[in-house]
Amino acid sequence: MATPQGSVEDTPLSVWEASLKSVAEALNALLSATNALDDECSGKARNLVPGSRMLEQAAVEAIYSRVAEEYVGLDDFEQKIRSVRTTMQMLRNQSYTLVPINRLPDECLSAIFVMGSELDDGSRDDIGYTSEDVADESEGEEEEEVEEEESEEEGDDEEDEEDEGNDEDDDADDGVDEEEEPVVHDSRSFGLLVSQVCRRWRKVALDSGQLWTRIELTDQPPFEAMELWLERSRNYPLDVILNTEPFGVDGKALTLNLRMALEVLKSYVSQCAEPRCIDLTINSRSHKSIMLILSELSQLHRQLRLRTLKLVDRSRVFSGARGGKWKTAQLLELMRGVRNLQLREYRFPWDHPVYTNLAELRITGIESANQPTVAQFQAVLRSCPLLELLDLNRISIIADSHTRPSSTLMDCLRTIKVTDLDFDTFASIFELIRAPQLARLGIHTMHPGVLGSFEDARFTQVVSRFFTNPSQSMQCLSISDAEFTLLSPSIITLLRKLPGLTSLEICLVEDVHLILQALSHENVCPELRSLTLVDCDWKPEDLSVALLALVANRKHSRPIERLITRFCGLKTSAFVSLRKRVPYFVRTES
Amino acid sequence: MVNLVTSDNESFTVEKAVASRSVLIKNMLEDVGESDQPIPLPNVTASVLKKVLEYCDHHKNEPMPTSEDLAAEDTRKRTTDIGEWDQKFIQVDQEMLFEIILAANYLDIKPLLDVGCKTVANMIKGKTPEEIRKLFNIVNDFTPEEEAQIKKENEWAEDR
Repeated sequence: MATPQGSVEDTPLSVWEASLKSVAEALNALLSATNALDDECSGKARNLVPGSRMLEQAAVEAIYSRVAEEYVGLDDFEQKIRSVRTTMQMLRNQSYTLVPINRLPDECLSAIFVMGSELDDGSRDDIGYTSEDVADESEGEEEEEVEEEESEEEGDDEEDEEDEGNDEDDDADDGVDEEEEPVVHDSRSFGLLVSQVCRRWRKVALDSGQLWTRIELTDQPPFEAMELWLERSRNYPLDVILNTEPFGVDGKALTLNLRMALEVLKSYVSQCAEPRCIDLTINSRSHKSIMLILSELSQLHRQLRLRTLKLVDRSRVFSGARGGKWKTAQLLELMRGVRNLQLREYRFPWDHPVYTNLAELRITGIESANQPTVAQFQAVLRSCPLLELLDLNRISIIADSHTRPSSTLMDCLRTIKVTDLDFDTFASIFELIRAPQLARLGIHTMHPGVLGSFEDARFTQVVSRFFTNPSQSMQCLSISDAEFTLLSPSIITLLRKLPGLTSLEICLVEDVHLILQALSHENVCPELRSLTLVDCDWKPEDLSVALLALVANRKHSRPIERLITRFCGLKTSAFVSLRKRVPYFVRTES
Repeated sequence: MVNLVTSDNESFTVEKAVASRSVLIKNMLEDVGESDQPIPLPNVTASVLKKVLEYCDHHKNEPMPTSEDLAAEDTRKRTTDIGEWDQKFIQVDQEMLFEIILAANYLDIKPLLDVGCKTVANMIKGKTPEEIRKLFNIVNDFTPEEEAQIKKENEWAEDR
């Protein structure tokens, strides 16, 4: 680099540039000399005929020998050039101008990676089980389920050997051409993907323990991937998953593999300095696999803390005797720390509730053979004094028509969501619970119960008893009624009990304009700020008028700040006017 | 009203509710109390602050995320959902996108930081490493040894 005085200063850049120039010149010279040597040797070799003078032949051979000696040194040159090239690429990658993403500090890059690994595709629910799966499996698989049940009863591990073969085939189909870079889809691979982009990204990815927490118990020996993930996960809570859904029926090979995988996991956890938090998801057709994992992990109950347990039991066969397995002291110890329990189709051990620290309980698809009695369900609720969220979906409770149980005070309960319940179960649940701090309530689609048909009047009776006094804590209410049984006046009665409500979502309710009129003129829910209406298109003109009145007339209460209407047939004129008046307005029509 | 001064010396006068979407500014306002003193933001340029304030203004009426919400985020998986308005808002060139993320990080505006990070994460998802390099103008700078290790890790991951 030239200084103001005109002298040359030996900066690293100038030295590097000069060196690069020299190498380029030397390489050009080497190339020319090599070509010249080639010409000469080729010429001489062509002229050599059998019987040529020994001296000429020896001279050519000497050149060949010399070339062979020096040629070895080229490997060294190439290695050095590669090293220079890597360093140059690394230097170039550090540019803020050439690579704008470099402006983000490591912590932001790490946050992006972690977010990418957590993003789900939206088609699956929390437990990794789609509604289509339920439909698919419920057709024509009863026989296999019973077979599995029988073999378990006999203490035999017999399973269909063909399934192992199928599993292998599946694996083979999933194989990726070695020549192509894999397109990575699942969240476990996101860490792997970003760690392969460049050195900086790799370092950030390897330093982000959250990217490596997903441990699949279906991994195959020798479990290199599992060990790598465990090592890189540092001390972050592990997401331990057994999902045998892609493998069809759980086979014997899978059980053997599961035992080995659990050994690797246990060995790692037992070496951790601090107790390790684990979120466990099991989606299996084999109840034996579920109990195997729980009992193996319960041996380490001092070294691990089970925070979340999600169980999907696809065997659909209930055996009351199995509840006894939940009694073992170690298992009780393991379950005691669980804060989030999600059960789908699982044969719940209603008589052995051990969930003293439970904050979230989500139960789906507990019907017929395994439904609890009112007393059993009440015992579960009483064993969860810290419960904050209760989410019940397609569950029925055996009502006792003779005795009426006393209600249980649940001081911490902030959210109740019920979906697809029969009305008797709905009524039983709301009679069993007292939740003075309830803030969010979702009621979605109820069906007529055994004890009597579902009537709008009974709904009013139940909710009026539940909200004996107006609730100041209730902030969000969501109601949908695919059976079209709820009438607007009943919902208005409920809304009158909720003066602190800030968010209301109504789906598939007739004459919703009556509710809007009550909100506009009767000082119902004066704190309401957010309103969502979905599929309420029975009387679009009345609805449009009522909505306009609602946003214009709530002068003595809070204005509506957020309005979402989906498939409500709103008139264009109303839409334009609403858009002007409501800060956040979204309309979707078919 | 609050007066904010950017690194390139431009002043922005905004409602307190808008400025307070930034936890950094909110804390500053709480510390100094009622004052007409301008708040210097040495890490944010005018063009970026203008964009950030547009976001804050749109979301000024929404409840601030509580520490409870933030703690809950640690245990729950996030979703790809970015609101319709936010999606349009964040449709900017890469340089501006990264500047917004930097500003949101500095000003401590968690929801904006999330929108920015989710946008970048969505850009990455479903691509090969080479496609990602191309997208962000990065070159492959791995040593042969690192390449070999990466190949091995891919094989392990595929063998599971």
